[in-house]
Amino acid sequence: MFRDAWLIAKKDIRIELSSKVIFAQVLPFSLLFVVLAGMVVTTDFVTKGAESRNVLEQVAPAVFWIIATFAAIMALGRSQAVESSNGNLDALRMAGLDPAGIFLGKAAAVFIQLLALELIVGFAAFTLYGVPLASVGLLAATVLATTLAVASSGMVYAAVAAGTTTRETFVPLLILPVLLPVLLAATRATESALFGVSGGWNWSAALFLFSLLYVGIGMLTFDVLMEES
Amino acid sequence: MAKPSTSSKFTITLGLLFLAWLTGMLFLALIYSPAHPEQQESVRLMYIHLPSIAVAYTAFFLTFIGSVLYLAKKSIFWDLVAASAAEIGVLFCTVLLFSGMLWGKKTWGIYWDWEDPQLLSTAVMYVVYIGYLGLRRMDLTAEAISLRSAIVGILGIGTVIVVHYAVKWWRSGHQDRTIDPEKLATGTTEGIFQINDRYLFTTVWAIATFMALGLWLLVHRFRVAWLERQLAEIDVEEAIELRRQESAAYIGSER
Repeated sequence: MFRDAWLIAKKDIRIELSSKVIFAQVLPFSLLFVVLAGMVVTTDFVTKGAESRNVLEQVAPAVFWIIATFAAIMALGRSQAVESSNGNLDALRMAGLDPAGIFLGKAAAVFIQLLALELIVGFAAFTLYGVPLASVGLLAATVLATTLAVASSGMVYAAVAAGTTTRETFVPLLILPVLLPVLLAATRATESALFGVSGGWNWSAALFLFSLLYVGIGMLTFDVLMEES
Repeated sequence: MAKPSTSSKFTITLGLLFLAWLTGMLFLALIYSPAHPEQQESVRLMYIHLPSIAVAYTAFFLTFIGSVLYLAKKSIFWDLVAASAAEIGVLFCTVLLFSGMLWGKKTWGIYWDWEDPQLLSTAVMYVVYIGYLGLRRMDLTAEAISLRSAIVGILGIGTVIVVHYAVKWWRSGHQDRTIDPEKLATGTTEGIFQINDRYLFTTVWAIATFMALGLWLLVHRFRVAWLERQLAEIDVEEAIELRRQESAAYIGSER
């Protein structure tokens, strides 16, 4: 199973390295979003000055995670798209790969891509928005746990909509309600990591438990999800 | 030949029973029940709000049961029960949210309270089941739709549990559970029923009325879904038959 997962993850990362869809399209989009969100939030900067900057600082964690969610939806869509042509998913199954392994591999590939993207986008956002950083360890733990939660739960629901023609518009509808608790917890934990408010580790732990739950669900259900497509 | 219909003796009786109960409910909710000392007249919205959540819970639970039994037995019957129940659940969830918003506007002065976990989790539950209904209309084979929606139907029950315990888990401004089994068992009628039992009686009546409506809708919806499924199969059989005739005619002309 883990060998299969490793093969699938390596395959997806290789596809990304040669096609650069995430790196050359989703990443610039996310950076653009960082700048746009900053501009929109501070439109009253001229009249209100520093007060408006405080608002930007306060909403920075929320804005960052909203952008990361958009990027995640795109990355998940891409992850499904590379399998959808020429009945590739059926081919993977016929090659004798374990469905749980396929799930783990695809989720791992999304996890790695998102993590790389979030590092760059997060650095840009928190620098541009001028936020303090109280705890590097908590921030790192939060980003890791959240990305794992997003990749695992997102992969389950992306598989639910795989093979349909309206996949791109339907997947967000399925995923966003599920990601809502993740977004809430991630925002609270990040606030705590940036501004030094207590309680961040609890949120981080909750995120980690959520992702474990969905890794389990994904490993159990991928078999059924891939059965008919 | 009888006019084609999804009615039966059972549904006609149930429908008439519902109409009778509804008449009684209108009397109870609008005349018999006094205005609440705190909520004033808006307490009457509760007689729509609370029964709606009862029907929505039951429906989503049925979706869960149907999904489990579909996966276990691959029975089309349970798959269609799950699908029909989800539609009824979403319908009553809409009523629930709107009646709650109107009630909130009257009582709290706002339509939407962003700090109310029960309201927010209900909204999430609502969107999850709308997603479920969207999935049922995807362009996949019937089996694939049944399988995938069964998984979503099973996972969706998690949101129902969160909604139910939201008040307990996160203390908030949302009303405590109006009918608390513990309170009923111990005979204390605090909270909303503090003044008299007329609120309780009306609420129980309203729940029975809405349950009858929910069941009536469910049976009809299920029968329509069942007929749709059969129609799809007949279409396939007819198409196969047509191709057979074509090939037979072709072979005949060759000779």
